[in-house]
Amino acid sequence: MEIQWPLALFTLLTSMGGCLFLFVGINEFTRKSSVSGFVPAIVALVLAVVGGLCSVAHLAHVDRMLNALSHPTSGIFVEAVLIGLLAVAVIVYLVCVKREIAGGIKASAVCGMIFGVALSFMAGHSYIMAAIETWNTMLLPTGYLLTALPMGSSLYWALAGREEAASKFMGVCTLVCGVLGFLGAAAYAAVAGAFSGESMMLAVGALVLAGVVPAVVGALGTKTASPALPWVAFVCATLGALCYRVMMWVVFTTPFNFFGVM
Amino acid sequence: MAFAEMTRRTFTKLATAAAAATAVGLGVEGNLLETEKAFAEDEVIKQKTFCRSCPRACGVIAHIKNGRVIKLEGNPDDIFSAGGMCAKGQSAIQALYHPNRTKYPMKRVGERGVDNTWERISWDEAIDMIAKAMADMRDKYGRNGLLETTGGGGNPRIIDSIAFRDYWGAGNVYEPGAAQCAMPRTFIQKQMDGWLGFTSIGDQQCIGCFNPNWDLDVFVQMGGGGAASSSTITARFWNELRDRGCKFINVDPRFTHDSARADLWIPIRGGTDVAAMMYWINYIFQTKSYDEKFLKEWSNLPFLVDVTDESTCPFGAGKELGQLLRASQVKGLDMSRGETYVYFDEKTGKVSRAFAMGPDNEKDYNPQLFGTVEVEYADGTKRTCKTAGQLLMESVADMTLEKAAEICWVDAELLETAAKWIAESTKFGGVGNGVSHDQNIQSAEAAMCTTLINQLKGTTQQPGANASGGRMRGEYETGRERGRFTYSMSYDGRGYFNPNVDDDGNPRGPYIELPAVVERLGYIEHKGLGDWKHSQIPAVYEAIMTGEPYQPRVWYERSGNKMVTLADSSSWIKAFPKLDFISHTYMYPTSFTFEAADLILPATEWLEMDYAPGAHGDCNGFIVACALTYEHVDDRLIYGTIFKQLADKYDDPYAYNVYYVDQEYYTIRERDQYLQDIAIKGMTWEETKAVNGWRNSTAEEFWQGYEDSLNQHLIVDEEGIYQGMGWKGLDYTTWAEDIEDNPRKNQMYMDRLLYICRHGDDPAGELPPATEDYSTVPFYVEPADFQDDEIREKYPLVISNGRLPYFHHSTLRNIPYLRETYPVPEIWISPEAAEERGIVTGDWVKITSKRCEQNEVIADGIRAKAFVTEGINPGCAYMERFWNPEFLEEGQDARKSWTSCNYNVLSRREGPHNPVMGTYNLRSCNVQVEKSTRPEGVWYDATDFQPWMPQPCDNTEGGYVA
Amino acid sequence: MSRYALVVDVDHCTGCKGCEIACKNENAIPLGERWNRLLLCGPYGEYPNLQQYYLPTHCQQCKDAPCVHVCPTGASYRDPETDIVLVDKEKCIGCKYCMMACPYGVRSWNPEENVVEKCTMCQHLTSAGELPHCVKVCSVQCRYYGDLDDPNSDASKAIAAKADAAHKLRDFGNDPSSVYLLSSKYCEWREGADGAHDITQYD
Repeated sequence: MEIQWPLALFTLLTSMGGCLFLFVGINEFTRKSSVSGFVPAIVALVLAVVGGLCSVAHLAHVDRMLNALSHPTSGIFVEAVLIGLLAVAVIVYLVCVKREIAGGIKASAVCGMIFGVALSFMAGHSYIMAAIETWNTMLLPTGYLLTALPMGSSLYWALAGREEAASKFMGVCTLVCGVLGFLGAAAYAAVAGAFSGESMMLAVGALVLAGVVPAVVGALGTKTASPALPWVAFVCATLGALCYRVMMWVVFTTPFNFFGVM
Repeated sequence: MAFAEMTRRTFTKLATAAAAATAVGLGVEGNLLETEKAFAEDEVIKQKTFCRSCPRACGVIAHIKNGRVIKLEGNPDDIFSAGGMCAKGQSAIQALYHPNRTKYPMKRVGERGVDNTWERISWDEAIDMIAKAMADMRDKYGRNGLLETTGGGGNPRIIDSIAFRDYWGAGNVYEPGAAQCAMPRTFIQKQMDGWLGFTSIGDQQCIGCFNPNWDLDVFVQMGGGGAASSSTITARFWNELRDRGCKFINVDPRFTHDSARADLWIPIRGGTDVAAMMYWINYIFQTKSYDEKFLKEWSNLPFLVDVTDESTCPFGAGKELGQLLRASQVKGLDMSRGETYVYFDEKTGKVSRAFAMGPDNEKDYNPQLFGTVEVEYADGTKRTCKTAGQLLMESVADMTLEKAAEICWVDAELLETAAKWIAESTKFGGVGNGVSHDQNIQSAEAAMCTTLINQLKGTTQQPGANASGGRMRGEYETGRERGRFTYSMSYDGRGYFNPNVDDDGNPRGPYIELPAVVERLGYIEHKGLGDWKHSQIPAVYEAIMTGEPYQPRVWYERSGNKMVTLADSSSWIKAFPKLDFISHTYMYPTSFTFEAADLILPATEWLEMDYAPGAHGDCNGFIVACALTYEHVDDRLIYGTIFKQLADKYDDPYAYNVYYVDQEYYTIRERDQYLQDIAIKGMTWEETKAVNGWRNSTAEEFWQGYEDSLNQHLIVDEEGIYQGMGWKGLDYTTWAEDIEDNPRKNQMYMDRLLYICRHGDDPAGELPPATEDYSTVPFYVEPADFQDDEIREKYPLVISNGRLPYFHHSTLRNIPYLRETYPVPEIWISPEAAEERGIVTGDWVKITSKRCEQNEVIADGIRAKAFVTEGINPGCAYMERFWNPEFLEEGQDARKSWTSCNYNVLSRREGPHNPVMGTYNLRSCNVQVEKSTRPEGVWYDATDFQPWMPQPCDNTEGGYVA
Repeated sequence: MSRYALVVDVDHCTGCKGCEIACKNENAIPLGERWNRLLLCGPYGEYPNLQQYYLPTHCQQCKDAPCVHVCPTGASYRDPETDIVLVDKEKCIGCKYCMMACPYGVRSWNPEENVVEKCTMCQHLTSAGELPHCVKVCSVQCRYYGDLDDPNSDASKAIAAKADAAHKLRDFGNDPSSVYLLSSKYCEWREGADGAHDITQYD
């Protein structure tokens, strides 16, 4: 099947936003960074909304888009609901931050963290279909989530984690997320047989860019505090996560394709 | 229904003809007259009619809304189609409203084969062009320069071409199939079988074997005679016959549905059918598994062969194959009852007159079937004569299993198993022959062998036999149109078409007479062509090229695309300049239009046609015009209009007679009269249309009719004699014309054929003999290309065609839905052949034959898509005929429409030809295949065909309005 | 509950493509799109001992239809009356998830209307008591339509007459309803339709 770029961007941006907010939320509890979560939260909100709009570009009938809310078992419905919930949580968070409602901040942060992680996971979960062997595994959404984590950690690092203590902490986080991203991408790519053929470069790209590079940069970040580091990690992690999402379309196989249109 | 809801596209630029018309200032819209609507708005009328997308003529119900045909479905009352309709029939709406249809008469502006520019003219001007060309020719050179051609594709009334020529008084007619296809098998079988039958499954009339009441044990499909090459409707009966437990032997180089369902698939090399069948005949003789009683009582095999008649036949036993001995040649026989054949009676020990048996005298007929007999000739000389049975047996004796297997390129075991099954069969269903094996120079012998096997098994007039048939009964008496458009097949015993006598035998005319018949090109050498009153195509070609014996000058072509259906068709572009005037009547322009025509006349699609198709299956009725678009006219009315013009303006006495005196024709302005004449008696045409497509009986009654038609040869006539085989007045003629006391036998030794060779059998009179005698028994020769070592070396693969279920002949290659599903021709080759050539499935390949060396325009061969399959004899290839109407679109190189993917530029017109039928090798030619690339401009993707999606047009009545 | 489906006797199917063309005409399907496509399975084996069958492909009317499950809008739905899987084109937003989810690849994209379509078993005809057009016009009468839960339907009777020969395409948990009748004496059933291809369309 052809690479569905709107969907790849949709899952990339929404999970980027979701995981960014995860670290906004983590900071509300760890307070490693003294920088307000306001700006990164706005970025997370913008990413989720822009990501959501990308998915619209995939639809042939935008005019009927709201119909998508009429069938709760579908993945699209779940995704749409999660984006909405994430957006609400982030907005509540922003309001609470502005009005300095401490309880509200924490509560909305927890909700946003859950919705952000869930959205990252569910964006991949929608693709689990019995008929598509290379997609029919929980490793697929797991990889979606795990390859999204380095983006979130590195972006938070770049936007709000540059103070020394915070930077070190985010270095550790990015190192851990890089390792997780590596494992997530590797596990799915192995199961989907992505290490050969057309998808090989994408699989390697996902491992290196969403795994190795963030991990290495994260490790460096625990020692030095170059302002370039988080951005390097973020750009690579984003490209790696994109490789992973594109790879999924490349390994797509349907058992029967009688009409030959996929 | 959905068709009606389709967006009606605007008339964009039309292809070739129409586009050019626009160029000369006549907008297409100019033809779209507002007409008074004769229908209730939005009401759906369901009109019963018959399909003419192939000869099968299935019952159809057309849904008509607001004057347009919107849907077709099969008529369930037709017990053959039972409501079915194939891909071809279903495509009739896309054909009817095809944007490239020729919408009115047009004449060429510019040069043939160079310019594709046309100018719209009136019907009057168009008809006058034809009449004037004929009259000019008549005045300067005589009448024999008329050439008429037609063909099975595109639903012409093919017999009308013959009638038109005969009323004109001279000239030639051919169809590219005919002598290559149906004519040999229909002609030969009816010479041999004394009863109505039809072994030609390819023409859907071999139906006795389908009778569900008959419990058959073995059936042989020869020559791709199965579903793949036949009508898809017929395929149902094969399925049912197999389900009833009948063993199937399928003989075909390619593996088809019928091969896959057969008990035995014998993938012989194309063109070797006769070798396989001669071996089976040999086996039947060797194992004495023939029906001895039947052969003795009902065949001419016991008759003695005249040893003094040295045949000039160059094949087989040659000079031994003389005529059967006549009673007048034998000393001492009573001649009071006139001439007859003779046999040796084993009981009396005497050479005796053959006689027609009856219950009272059958005990006196104890003939010797094989061996030799001492005969005292009338001059007192004693000579040893063989029985016909002996000569037939000897003629196949050297076709051993080993030899046949070597010729056919198959395992001997397969041929032997088939031989055993046939020999041991006790309820033999017969050998049905189809299209493939006829299209080769052994056409007559192939038909001879199939009929011989059936007769050796004694199947004539028995259950399952092809040589038996039910008769249709008409529920209504229908009116009679002007003219005597009976089938002009002259040898079938059902009456000649002689234009010089009326229905009651009274003289009139005169129209065509003996000298004009004798000078018919190729006829004297190949008298089997007289069956359809045709000329031999190679002889016509030679005459055009050399002017010998005379020059054909005016060509009236009424069918589709001769560039696709004629063998070695690219050589014909050298012939076109030799003709003074060529007109083409068809539904849309084809390659032939571009290459040859000076004038185009628009012909009707079957959904616009009023025509009695004859009964098929169990439905009677007329093809009924369900829509009238543009200025299309039933072509038989065009013939009438030409005759009227010849009579009125060019003082032609024949035309005057035919139109005014004998009133054989209608003009295009007399359509209403025509319709009223053909209507059911006592009804108007409108009332007739309402009852159209009526059934005579239930399926049970229909098949019971077959049951009742068995053993009619045992019915005793007024003289107390069995009707026997070949009884005059019933069905077929199986004795030579000099026989006065007909013994009523099947002709297995073809004495009548030899007689025809020497004397003809033509309503016009006695014909001169052919140079060489025809063989009275089968013989085997290799296909023409295969006889040449050099050709075989260079072009090692033997190629076969077949029909496809999606097209009929050259038709329908412009139907978007059909081209979407079969966009380009495929060529099947074996994995071995493919590997040698580095070809894999899906590759475009180039195919060449000897003809590519002889014709510059096809020097680079043709292209097709490879299908590498185990399902083909490894030495063979299979490719369907094809052409590409997309090259007739504006701005394209129109010549490529027939040089890109058209198999028949590779086939062979050059001799040797079949002695009886003049058949050339349309199939079983030798080719080479190599890897190539996609030919530029050939449409392949589904959306490429979008410009051909239907563009409905309202009825203009232009052609029929005075 | 009812379970309407098409049953095809592939012992008898000659591969004439009449059903394909009938379907396209009846439903005015644009070029490039199909609701029904005839494929050839085989020939299998070695020359000259070969076997093959034609496989007309169409919506298999799955009991647990993945297309219905994944559809975000309910455009792919089960008809409440007949339980047939249909597409409500008015609701389709063109996300193509159903096309991905269909194990058999028998849904089609209509580029003119930008919606997904598929075989409806000619509901516009069956609701009026007629047969689907492909069933009606099949030259060899090898197609049957009816409720498999009703032993008296044409489809059920066809299966009952050849119970040993009844097969389905591979089930991925979707429980397809369409039945193909193929006798083992003619060819072994290939649940996976291996090597199935369209004639002349190899790429």
